[in-house]
Amino acid sequence: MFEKFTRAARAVVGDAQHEAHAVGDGRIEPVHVLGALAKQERTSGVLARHGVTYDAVRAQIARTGDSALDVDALASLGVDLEAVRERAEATFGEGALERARRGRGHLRFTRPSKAVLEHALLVTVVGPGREVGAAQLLAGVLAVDDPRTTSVLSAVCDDPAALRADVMGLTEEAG
Amino acid sequence: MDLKEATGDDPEVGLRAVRALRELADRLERLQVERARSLGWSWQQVADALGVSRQAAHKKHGENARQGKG
Repeated sequence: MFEKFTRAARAVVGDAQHEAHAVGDGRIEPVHVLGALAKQERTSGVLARHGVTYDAVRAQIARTGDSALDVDALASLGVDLEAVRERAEATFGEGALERARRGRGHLRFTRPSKAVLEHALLVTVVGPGREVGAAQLLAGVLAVDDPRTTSVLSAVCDDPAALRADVMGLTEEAG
Repeated sequence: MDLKEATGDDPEVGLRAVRALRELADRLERLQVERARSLGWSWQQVADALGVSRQAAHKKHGENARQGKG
């Protein structure tokens, strides 16, 4: 599949893994692709115009990620995270719970992320370009129904429909 | 979201709690397995303690254990 990707699009796929690693997420989700696209020259402009800057996306990714142990949610069950942490550190050393989170090594794409790549290919086939570029990947991210992406986007973007329309325009330009 | 004010029967709260608990359990499992292995436990012993097959335990933790040593 990747032989049809432009250099920029390949860079996005690689950067998506960095984005996941950076926040301790164990798999590459569409939001990590979105984060990578917010840094990519071809797509950062259209995203920023709709409020989707790299910093804003990154903050939302961290907030919605599985890296942070949810103190409040655990407390709602009567689990005192601090007490657990104290005991874990007594046995396994300081920072044990952080050390043990996922996100080491090579990360896999989730099914929605694969759908993003497939949609990008589809957009390319019907459009003027021969290769999957960053714009097509962005169209893929916006097309795939993924709750975390929806939550991140709705937090930073006033009008996702307008963003979608602009990105559609971008994919119709060749290159 | 203040979970103390949220209603106890809200699925949103309940599901979030389950997710947090699973994440915590996963991390504790990783730490425990790593330590057991470093103390010389076999994969079979680890698997028996976790109630899974030896293959499942090795598949889930074998790579991390190797990374830890490397």
